[in-house]
Amino acid sequence: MKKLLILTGLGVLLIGLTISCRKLIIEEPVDNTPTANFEYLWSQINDKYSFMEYKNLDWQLVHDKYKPLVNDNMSPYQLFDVLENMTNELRDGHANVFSPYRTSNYLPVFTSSPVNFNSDLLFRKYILRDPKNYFEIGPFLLTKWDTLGVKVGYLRYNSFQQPVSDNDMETALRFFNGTDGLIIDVRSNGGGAPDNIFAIAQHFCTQKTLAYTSFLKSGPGAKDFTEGEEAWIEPNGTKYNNRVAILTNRSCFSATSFFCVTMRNLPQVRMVGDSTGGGLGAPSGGQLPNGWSYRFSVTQTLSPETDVNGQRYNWEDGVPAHILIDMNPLDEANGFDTILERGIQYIITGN
Amino acid sequence: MIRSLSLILFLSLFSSISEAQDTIYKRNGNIRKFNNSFITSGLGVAYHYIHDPMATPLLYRAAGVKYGQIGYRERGVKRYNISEVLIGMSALNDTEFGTYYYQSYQFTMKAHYEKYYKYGKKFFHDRIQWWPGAGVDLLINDRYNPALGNSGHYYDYSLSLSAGTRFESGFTLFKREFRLAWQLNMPLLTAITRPNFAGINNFVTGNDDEVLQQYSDNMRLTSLNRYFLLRSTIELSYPLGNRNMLMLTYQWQGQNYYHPDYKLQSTYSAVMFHFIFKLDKNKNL
Repeated sequence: MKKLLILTGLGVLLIGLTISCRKLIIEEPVDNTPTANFEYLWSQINDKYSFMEYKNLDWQLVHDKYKPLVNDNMSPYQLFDVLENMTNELRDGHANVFSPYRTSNYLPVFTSSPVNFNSDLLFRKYILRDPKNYFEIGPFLLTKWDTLGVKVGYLRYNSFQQPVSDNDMETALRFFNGTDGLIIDVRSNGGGAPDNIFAIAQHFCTQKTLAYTSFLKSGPGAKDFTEGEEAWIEPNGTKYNNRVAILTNRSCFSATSFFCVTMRNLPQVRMVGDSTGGGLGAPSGGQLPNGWSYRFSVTQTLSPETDVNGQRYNWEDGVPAHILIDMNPLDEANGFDTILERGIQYIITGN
Repeated sequence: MIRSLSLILFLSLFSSISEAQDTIYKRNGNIRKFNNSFITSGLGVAYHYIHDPMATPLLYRAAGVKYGQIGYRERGVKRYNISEVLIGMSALNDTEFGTYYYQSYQFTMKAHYEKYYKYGKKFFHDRIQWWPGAGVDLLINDRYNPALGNSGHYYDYSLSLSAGTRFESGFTLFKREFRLAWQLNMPLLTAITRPNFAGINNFVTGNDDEVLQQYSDNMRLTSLNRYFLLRSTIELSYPLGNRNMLMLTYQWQGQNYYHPDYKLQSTYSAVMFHFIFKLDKNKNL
């Protein structure tokens, strides 16, 4: 019995000793006060945000502007408003704060631009013009028209969150076999998985082509980035080499902008409509001391296209359309989609 | 490149020292070889604390984590080899709020190969035996927080050369011979990889091959100045028939990676029950 007691005592002592070591290993978490939450988010953005220099932001000035609005007696709702306003200073749709009751979002890119997309008009007057020629293949809506003897294919892709398989693309391109040109309508496509960009684009290039180059934030300095990582498209599967018009508006964001950067560099492709909404910085984030999560851009993307000085474009604020055109309200009232009609015109005339 | 070579060197070391070992045993004046080998398998529960400031300043915990273990042991008069693989899954909650709203998940795999040599001198009339040793430890922790989207994946993978020490004592209780052991292991040289500064792989390039490249690029070779891990294991063995055993273990592990940009702190306590099956028929040990 004595032996048992000694052993039990020894065991408890050893276990107790090791358990008590936890506080030697793990430091105390930061306070969960509004001030601590504000400072934490501010410093994370200060160290990791990728467009600080490109957007000419003085982040210390932003700190000085919002810090006086924070006190430890404020409600979570008031704190959320301050954090939302602070992150909106980044002018970036990829900068968000997520609370259980609201998500912050930078909306002016979308709200201050023409909508340039009328889904009801599109369905009634174009997609369902010939119901026998209307198909849904995977994430795509497909149809084709004969306009003045020119056969035009139409592919609508609502969201890059919907996966594109090889089978989807092969089936769609079989459907478009014999057409003189193709319209890819990605208007109001808010983005999703970049993998789908390559699944589509590989059918439109004839040789290995540079899509874009991405630079990842690698340190707290404004110029601390990794070496550029190049994204390439390589020809694969059935090819479509006729004219392609990609229809865009300002609600094209994130992966859709990456898609446009990739496609607009191909010789047979023209972007028609408005510039995209940007979002060419891949977002990364974490959790605040109060449990809310956040994210913001941590990469930069450069287009393969260059300006007259040989500088590659950074289209974070929006990938420009080759043919810049808005929806005409008069056309819309008369059942015409101005941007789609302009896309058809490009396919017919090449201009 | 140097980091990749270090990893390869560690892996090759790990594989080369895991060859089987025979025990030389002297009986009736003749040298005879015995291979005293055991298969171990165990199940248990654990309690984790994890502080990964790359993702959040919050302290996460996981209670009641289920663990499974399989292993192989070879024991001789003066040598003791322990090989173990331990796998566990856990759901993590933050300690501040304890809610499941931001729940994370962690997959853990630990693999050890340890080699101990019995120290010749006797302690307390040979009531306590000291077995100093060394080993190789592979530790894989993979955490995923769905609420963080693209950056929801955080990990620490490490491979270490460790020093170890083991104290054993046998005693009789209820007319049964028990064995109590206390083992400490501490890495001296560690190759560790964590996510990059931005916290994500550059997923927009569409090149999945780069994930492995990222692990390699972010690998750092560290020692006690940057990486501290202590694993303490208490084993109580209860003999069954035919030299098989039941074993109750309590293990505690503290891990601290000090790097300012890639910091990681965690502790882990586990209680496990093991069955130890003797593979050969030799009854001398």
